[in-house]
Amino acid sequence: MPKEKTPALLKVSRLLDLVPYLTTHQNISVSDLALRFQVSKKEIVDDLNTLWMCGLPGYTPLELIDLSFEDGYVTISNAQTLESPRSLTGEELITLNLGIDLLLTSETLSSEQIMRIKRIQEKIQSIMGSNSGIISNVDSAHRAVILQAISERNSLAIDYHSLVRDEVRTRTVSPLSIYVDNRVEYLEASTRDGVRTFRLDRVSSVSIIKENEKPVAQTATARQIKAELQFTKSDRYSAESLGVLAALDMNSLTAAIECFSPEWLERTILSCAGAVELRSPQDLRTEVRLRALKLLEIYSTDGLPA
Amino acid sequence: MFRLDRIVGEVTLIEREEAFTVPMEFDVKTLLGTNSYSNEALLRLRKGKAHSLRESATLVSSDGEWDLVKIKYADEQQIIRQSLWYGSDLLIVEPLELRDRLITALQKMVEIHA
Repeated sequence: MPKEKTPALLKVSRLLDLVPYLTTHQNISVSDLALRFQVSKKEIVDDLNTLWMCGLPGYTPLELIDLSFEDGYVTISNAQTLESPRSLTGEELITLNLGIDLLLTSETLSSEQIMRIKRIQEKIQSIMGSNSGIISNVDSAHRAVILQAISERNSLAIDYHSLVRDEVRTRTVSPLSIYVDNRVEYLEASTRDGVRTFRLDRVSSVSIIKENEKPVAQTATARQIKAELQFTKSDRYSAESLGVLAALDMNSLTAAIECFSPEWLERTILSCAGAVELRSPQDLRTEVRLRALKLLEIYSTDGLPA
Repeated sequence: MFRLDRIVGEVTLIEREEAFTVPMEFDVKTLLGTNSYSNEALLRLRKGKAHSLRESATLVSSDGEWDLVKIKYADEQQIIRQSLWYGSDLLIVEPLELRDRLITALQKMVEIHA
């Protein structure tokens, strides 16, 4: 959360905003100005008196901002160093970006409006840096607990739904960081099996384990699998689920992919329902065949497993 | 119907007025209503498995290590793919045609991975 701004801080940011505003609104009346900045006339005059003293070192009339407001109307000159608006704060940028995301989901926009909104969003995101997407499907309470655990170096018990293994498991992890990749938030944590990442939106509960457990070993990285695929027909759905749409050679219908989870690969090949053959690695190929055989056997005994 | 994210390349407007006429009886709501999720399958799910599928299924009965659930589906191919993902933790009980298609797909898989 942003810190509560003290009156002095508020005054400074108001002064910084005043100069560019006055530059583009010459001859504005003092009362309009007070209204615009939502402060009393006395305060605005006080601000203007402070601005009098502002300028570049040297502080002769040549370097100071020229300001006149005695007649109730404000004009400003010689303020080149301060006349561009200050940038938005992090919170303001996030709020704007979130609002734009919501706006873009509205169905009543014309394509021209969408283009314009996207241009604004690009500008905002370029200020925010990459990975500036807003995700709303993460329970912010979880995030808070995780961040607390990171700062206090506590371990966490998380209930995690592994889509690939198709199970919800409670795991003890030592959280290292939270990061965003391609609009998905991940928790990076060291576990008994080495450093693992968890999608925050699949964490169904988190709690801090109070005893000062040391972070568990950080060895053992997952084996990277290089797989060769042969499509028996051009099948868009299978290509999409395997993530090879772009890599698919349409002449030979082959593709090569890299992944980390053998379980994911086997399940995905199965769900391609015969449209894709897993050429290699050999052990996973055999496993796919065994899974299919096992299922066939269950079905041949009237769907009732032994 | 077309999935918007599968449109590749530019979409250009053909500038000819009255290029097509909308049939009088055309109604998007009816079209969507008839096409989607009007089929129902009876599945056997292993207890504690197929979590993400259970969210859209209703429990019929439960015995031993299996739950019997009903699920609505729109497209045969899609429910077959979904079912295969869960391997031997999911069995299609009804409709029989769906079950047969799944068995055919399995046979093909065994064949190409021989």
